[in-house]
Amino acid sequence: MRTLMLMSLALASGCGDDKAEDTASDAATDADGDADGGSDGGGTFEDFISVTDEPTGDLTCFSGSLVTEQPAAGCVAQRSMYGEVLDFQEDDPVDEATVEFFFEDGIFGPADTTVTTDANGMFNVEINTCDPYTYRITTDPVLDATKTTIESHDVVPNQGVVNPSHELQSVSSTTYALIPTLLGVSPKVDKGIVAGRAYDCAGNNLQGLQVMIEDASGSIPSDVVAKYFIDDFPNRNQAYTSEDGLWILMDVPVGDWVVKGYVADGLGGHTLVARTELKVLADSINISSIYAGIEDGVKMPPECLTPCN
Amino acid sequence: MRRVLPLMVLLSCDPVVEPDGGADTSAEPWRPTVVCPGDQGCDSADGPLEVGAAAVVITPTCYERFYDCGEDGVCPDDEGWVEADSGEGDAEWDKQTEAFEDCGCDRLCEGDEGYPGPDEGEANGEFDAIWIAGFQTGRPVNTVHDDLWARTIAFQQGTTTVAIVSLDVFGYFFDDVQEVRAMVDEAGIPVDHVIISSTHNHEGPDTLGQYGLQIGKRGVNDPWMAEVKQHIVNSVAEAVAALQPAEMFAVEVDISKAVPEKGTRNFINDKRDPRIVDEMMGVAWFRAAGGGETIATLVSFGNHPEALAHINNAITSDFAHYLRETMEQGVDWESGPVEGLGGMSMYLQASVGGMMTPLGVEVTNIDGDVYSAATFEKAEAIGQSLGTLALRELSAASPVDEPNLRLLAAEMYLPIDNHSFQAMFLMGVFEREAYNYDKTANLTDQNVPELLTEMDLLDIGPVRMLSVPGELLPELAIGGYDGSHTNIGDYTDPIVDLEKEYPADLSLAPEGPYLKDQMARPFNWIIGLGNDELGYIIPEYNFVISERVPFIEEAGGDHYEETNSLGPRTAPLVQEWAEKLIGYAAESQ
Repeated sequence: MRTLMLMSLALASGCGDDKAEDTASDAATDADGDADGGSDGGGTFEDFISVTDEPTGDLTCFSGSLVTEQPAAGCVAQRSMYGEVLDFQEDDPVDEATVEFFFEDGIFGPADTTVTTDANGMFNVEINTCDPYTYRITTDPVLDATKTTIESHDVVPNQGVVNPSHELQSVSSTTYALIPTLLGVSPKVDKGIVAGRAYDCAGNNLQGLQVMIEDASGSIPSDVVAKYFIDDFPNRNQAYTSEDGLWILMDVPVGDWVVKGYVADGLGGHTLVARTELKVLADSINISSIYAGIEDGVKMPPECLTPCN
Repeated sequence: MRRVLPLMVLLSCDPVVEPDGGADTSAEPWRPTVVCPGDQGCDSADGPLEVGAAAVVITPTCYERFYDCGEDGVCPDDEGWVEADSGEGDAEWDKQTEAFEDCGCDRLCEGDEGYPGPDEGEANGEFDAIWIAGFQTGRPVNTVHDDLWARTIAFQQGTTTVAIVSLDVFGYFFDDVQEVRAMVDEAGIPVDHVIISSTHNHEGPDTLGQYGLQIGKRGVNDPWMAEVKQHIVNSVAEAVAALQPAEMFAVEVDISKAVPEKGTRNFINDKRDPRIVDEMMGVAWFRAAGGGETIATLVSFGNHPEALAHINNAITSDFAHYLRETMEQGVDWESGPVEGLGGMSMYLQASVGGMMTPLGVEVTNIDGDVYSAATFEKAEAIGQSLGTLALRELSAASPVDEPNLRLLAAEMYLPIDNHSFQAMFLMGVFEREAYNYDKTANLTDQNVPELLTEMDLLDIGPVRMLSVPGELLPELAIGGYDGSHTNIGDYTDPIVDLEKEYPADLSLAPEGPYLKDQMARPFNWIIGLGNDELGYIIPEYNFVISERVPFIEEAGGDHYEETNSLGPRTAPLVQEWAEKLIGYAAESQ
């Protein structure tokens, strides 16, 4: 028997900054993409958070409370963005992909703008720089080639008069299935996957963080599984983010969720250092990275934090 | 059999299943699942040995072809071709850039000579490929060089009838074997037990699942697999129908002596330390009683049928084709012809694991010609040379006096510790039943699925065959840690290269007696991939996996095989069950 090594699942490069991944269908959601969701309350904090090793990373920006970032004056500006949708694993262009943009940074009703990629995976869209948005990428479900990929809180930097270019990523059905199964989890079609990366204050990967998930009322769902990666590859034995900063939550019920990132406080307890909010759709991958000191998962690029001309 | 604590039964949603003849839970002595002679329906093995043989073609006929033209889509015969570009001629279909002929099963499109009209799959916009197993994913069949076969030899003595089937495929799961057996029963074919072994052909269709278009995409063509099952049944039926009193001859050949300066390296490049090769090729010949026509010849030898390597889109059974052809028809060597024996020839895979391969071999054939490139000429050189060695040895053999027939079979469970294999099951790449775990829970080190499989012990006269459900590393069969089976002529490679990462620590290697010693008959054969293909069966002392990404990433040094194995518990369990079978055979002699 001989086979090639399974590909390196470079989820790292797909999460966070200007990339997205994975997929889902809208099963169990209503016309707005909403779902009643909510937690069954069967989970506990201790199910997710137990790290005792101290984190490795720059947490100097974190003063004990989480903040939100706003764009500096003049940075929100409409631009014509050239985008490209790439397969997360193969890096091949994804043609005839439907890309929906939600400028309210959440899937609240129909998309504000929808484009279709050409044969080279390219598209063009009018978009506001320094203004967080959510996008959703789908392909013809008959082909079963990709899963619905959603990234929340994506932000395009303001580069002056230059029209920005931006890469979005689509996760194949295979990769969607492979990541959890390598972790021993068979993904359920009526639930979704949430994944992202943890960043420190310097924008580097934050090591030693654990994630948990709860609904708006603070209720923690049961059966959600949190796992971590090593060198961009899912690892069953890794208990918290490694140097790659990657984390994944599997079998997340459909609905609106809060993801919280904790590190050990050195005193036997844990400190909340990052947080994000997102909507989870069934049979999809929902990307939302978390940033040290940030309350809502929206991390402005440096170009958006100083006044723009 | 692993004992299962009652607590685990209570915790599991699915009851832990013990196979027939499983754990010793009572005072009753252990008994194999099948005992012939002894069981109802095969109560005796008296009288002369009867033998019948048949060969049925299993080559797929329904597939579409592609153009291996690389990123620019331009091939050498196309206008504008200058030189091969990236991906051109790599035998893999690049769906982004390489075209396929959407002409359906018959590969004929409108305008082609003999076009009969649209057929299945034609103009459906999909590439209806047959994927080739063995190396990379995404390698489609484009043509057929030589047919693939289901070759059967049936043996009968008294009321005991056993059939051995050799399939020119990569592997054949036990669940499929069980299906075939049920079909044989339904067809009313009077056979007590069917053993199916795969040659482990790396130049034929995917029969397990992991060699599809890409990793994670099941590569088995299910309609063809269904055809194969029926072909096997037909092959068994024909062989049983052809049973006749037979004479038996048995010999073995030390293939390391064919070209002394190369030793075993003339045929096998052992790519995993410790470099241990079972140099003995087992050969049996059955002819009609009274010196009649040849019914069948049987050759047992451990080597990967992959002389064509991974740059090949033509179906072939690799060196096995030429070996069988030589046994049947002979070879007209420049140095003098060698007569074939006629009849039907079968190649049985043996200890093929870690890593018995013709890749990297420079084979010198009987005429002294040397072949090293991955070509049909190289496969031919290997097959014809091995066949010639077998025929020469048989020419001086004497008939076996009153050969007996006996079959023992035992079902067993083996755990799937390999995370990659677990993922393949969860994704549906591998389609077979798993047992003894909580299907509603996530897989962990405490919730490990198991597979039901089987090992057989078959005696035919002086030949004892032990089937193992995968690719046994030769050292488990013959030992050789003292260098006694590192016969590589003038090559100077050490048995273990201590400069490599994680070298085998031979001081930890198991002491004998090893399986072939324990089998204790004049001729002892391992039937590799017998009734199953569960990957490499690796000695526990030298089982090393990556700590970073266990089972998926290779550990340093010579530890590729671990990534394609069930796990470290397989070899000890195979050893344990082999000893049970051998022990039972000794006690019930």
